[in-house]
Amino acid sequence: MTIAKIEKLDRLIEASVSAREAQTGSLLRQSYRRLRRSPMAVTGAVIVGLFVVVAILGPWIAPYDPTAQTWGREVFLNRNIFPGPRAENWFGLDHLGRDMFSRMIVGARQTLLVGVVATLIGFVAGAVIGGVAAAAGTFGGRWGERVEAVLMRTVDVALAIPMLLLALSVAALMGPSLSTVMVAVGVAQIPIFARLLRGSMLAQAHSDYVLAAVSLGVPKGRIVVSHILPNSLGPVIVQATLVLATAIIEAAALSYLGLGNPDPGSAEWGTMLADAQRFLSGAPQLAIYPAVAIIVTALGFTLLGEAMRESLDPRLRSQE
Amino acid sequence: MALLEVEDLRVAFGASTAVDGVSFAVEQGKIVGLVGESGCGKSVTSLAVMGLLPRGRAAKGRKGDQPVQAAAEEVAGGSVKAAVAAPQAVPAGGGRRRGGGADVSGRAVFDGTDLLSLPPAAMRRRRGKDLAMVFQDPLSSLNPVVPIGRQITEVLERHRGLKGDKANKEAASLLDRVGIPDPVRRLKEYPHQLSGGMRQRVLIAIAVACAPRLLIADEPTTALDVTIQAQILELLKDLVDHEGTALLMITHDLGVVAGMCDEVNVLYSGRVVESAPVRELFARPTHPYTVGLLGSIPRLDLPLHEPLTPIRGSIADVIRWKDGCAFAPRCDRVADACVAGEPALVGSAHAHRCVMAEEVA
Amino acid sequence: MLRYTVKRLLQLAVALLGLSLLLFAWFKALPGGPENRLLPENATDQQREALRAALGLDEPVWVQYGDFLGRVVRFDFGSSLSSGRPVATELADRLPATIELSLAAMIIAVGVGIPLGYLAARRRGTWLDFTAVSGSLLGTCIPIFFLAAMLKVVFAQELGWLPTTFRLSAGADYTEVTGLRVLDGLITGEFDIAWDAVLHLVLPAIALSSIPLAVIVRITRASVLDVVGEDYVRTADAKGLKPSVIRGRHVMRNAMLPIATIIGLLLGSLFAGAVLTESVFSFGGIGSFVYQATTERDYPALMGFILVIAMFYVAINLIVDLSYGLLDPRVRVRS
Repeated sequence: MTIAKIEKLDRLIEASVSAREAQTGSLLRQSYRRLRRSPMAVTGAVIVGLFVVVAILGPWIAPYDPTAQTWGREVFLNRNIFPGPRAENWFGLDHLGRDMFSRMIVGARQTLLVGVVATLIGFVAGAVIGGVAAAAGTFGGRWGERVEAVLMRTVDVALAIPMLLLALSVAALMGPSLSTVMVAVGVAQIPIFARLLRGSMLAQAHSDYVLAAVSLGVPKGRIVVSHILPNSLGPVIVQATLVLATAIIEAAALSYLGLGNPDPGSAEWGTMLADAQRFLSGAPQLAIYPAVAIIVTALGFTLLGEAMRESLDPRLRSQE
Repeated sequence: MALLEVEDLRVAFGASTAVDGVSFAVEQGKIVGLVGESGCGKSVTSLAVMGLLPRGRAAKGRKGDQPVQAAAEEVAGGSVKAAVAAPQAVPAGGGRRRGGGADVSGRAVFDGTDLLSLPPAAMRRRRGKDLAMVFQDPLSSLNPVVPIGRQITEVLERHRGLKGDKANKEAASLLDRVGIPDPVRRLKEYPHQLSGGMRQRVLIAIAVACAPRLLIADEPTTALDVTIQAQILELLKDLVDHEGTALLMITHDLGVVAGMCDEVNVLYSGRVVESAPVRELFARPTHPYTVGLLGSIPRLDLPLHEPLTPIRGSIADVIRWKDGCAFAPRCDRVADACVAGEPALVGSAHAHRCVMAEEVA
Repeated sequence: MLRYTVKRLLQLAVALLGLSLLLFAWFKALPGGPENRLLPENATDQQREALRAALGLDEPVWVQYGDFLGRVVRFDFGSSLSSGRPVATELADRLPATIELSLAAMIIAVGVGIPLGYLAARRRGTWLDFTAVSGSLLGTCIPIFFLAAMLKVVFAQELGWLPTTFRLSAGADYTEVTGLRVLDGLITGEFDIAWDAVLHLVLPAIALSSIPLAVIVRITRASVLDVVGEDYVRTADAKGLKPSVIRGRHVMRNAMLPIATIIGLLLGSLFAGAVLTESVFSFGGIGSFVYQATTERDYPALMGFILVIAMFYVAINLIVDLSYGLLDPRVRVRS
């Protein structure tokens, strides 16, 4: 090939890549504009925003110490009839005479922490596996293909195990604690993230602009890192939002199974909900507060995630 | 009297008008072309005649005409039931409602009956029997999970009461007639096992299964290879010649028009701008738009380096017909008279809608 | 179709083999190894060694894995640490209850979910659509054990409409045939037993069906919306076919493809959800067993459970894949 020819190709590819970037840029802007108009997205964002604010400011907003059994004597004397909402305790008291309102507010932080850490574990590990598999399979030659096959078969096997069971197995290894719950829920999400990122990257890898870059001789590593990866992250981020909702619910389920935080003093919605099961017929409010908080928060993340997915999906978009 | 007479057909999707007073006629046993660029309303016209509007079609934005697409996005929620319903079943102003459909007015008189005023069930009894349609994209127009044999026999069952072996035999002979070899074996196959040309032949077999008196073909060759295109056109022409079926050919391809049609109607912006027998049209194009169309196709009889003359602007640059000629913004011969009110269709055998016609000629 | 089936079966074998490897690794990684669970805290080193030899733990790892695999193939998962009975027997006793509950939940989810999703799609933009969509979003966000507990408190304890716990009323004279009690009641002609079993199934099945129901509604709605816009539905319309034929042969047959896949995936998660639901209603299936095994860290029981469930899950996926082949000729027949 002559120099001139190469230069010409170079310009063509540059044009195609930048055209694509311009296009995705405007696509993102379009998606954002659609998001802001979608009632689903706005509702979700408001819920999530409120939740995050409470989680951060919790200890400063809460009127009482969430672990102090201030009214313990009163509850004990009442023999399992727990006072409901009243002027000094807006949500009433729990079975140890602690202020439910304070516990709910402070609990938001732990719950957010569990959700975010679990999702991050799944996201990072899944992204590494899926990313390596896709990159190896696309550019790694015959050996790369083998690496991809091994990685993805393993992921398939892990996918064959229902999520809660995977979480159970991890929990059995680590013993009950809040970090067990985070790891267990996080590990259970790895296969989904791995599959998603790989699929998304493969779709990008077969697009014309990558073909152009390859034919130009752009280093393969650079193609993956600076073109394929950034363009593939959209669906994975959407999934992360949805997984946050699942993680919060699954964490509650693991707490219910007795794998959560063994320390009854700590305030976390899942643990509170699990603890409250014992008093369900006498004092259902103890379960209902954390349950509603979990449901609304999970719904917030779900709404946001679904709205994001719809705004990113051009096929769904045209149906609007 | 003609087999099909469309009079002042108007179709609007909410605020946007797709068809703006189209009139034409199709005589028994004749091939009539409906020509124009994407977005001129030719497909909507055919769907309106078939009673297939409104519906949630083209939501995926394929090769459909532009206004249809825009409108279909609004009516994407249109259900099968709504689609089956004849247009007039939609309440006036329904187009503006979300999930509503098209407002259709005018008349489409087929063999003495106005199709547009038939109740949905009556229209359903005629569709596929008295009038049938061949669509543009043969792969997406066939159900992927039903054997092609069943897709043919279901029409025979519905309109001719044929069942079981009788239906299968008839289906095989239909496939044979449209030129598919080994038809008995093919009956059990699925659309993905056939080539593009074969699929279009199957669609044609379905359309002619009940010997319709009018066949509407909406860009039947656009999705096919050039070599296959000629075969399919030949087949259509053959069927028309033998059965005495009338054919309404919707196309943007003037080559197809020249080879197939007896009469041609040129559409622009939802209205017929010129209507003439095919030789007459090619010999003496009168409307500047027709002239432009003819000028923008390559010709073998001109010197090699003669540049093509494209029509400038795009179909999006329009004036409303009641204010003047919709083509005026793109026309080389535009004059004050062109925007001085609604131009009338002048002439009978060779009609045109241009106030400057004498100058063009 | 045969080649397709063989291919899927091979993939299944590979998946199960991989799973056994994972499980073996998990088993090896348990804190302190299994011998610590079996020996008293103050065991001597000799006792420890003796047990390790007895369990074959002093053999090379690949021999251990071979042993493990050999036992697993014979469904020998060892004995439960809490009851002392073989895990396989414990599981076999309880499996019918879980299968019955899961089937009941799936019947509710499919029977309600597909028609509801279809209606939501056809009435797109109406209040019905809105209710179905928001209800299904909400459905995935309710912790299942909370839903189960609330159903129990409201409909069993407070209103007393339905039984609170167990699979049959106390003292019911029941003849076991398949272990699925509704079915058994029908087979033996003891219709009162069948009805009693149905009453006991209602609440747990509703609780368990919440998530699959939500998912099926949404996927059906999306799938029908997709298909209704397809060109071949317009073709069917242009043929003048009856609306019922268009709906069945042309819309639903195509819309079923993604729905079938999802149903298979959901069945697996259903077994997991059964763990939570059964413990609320003391339903006596493997769910309750696993709840106990988890809280008591009964590893052989957990391992047996995971293997059995995984086998079920993989087998169900195989059935779904094969039925997918039946539903979709593009998978079955290559051109």
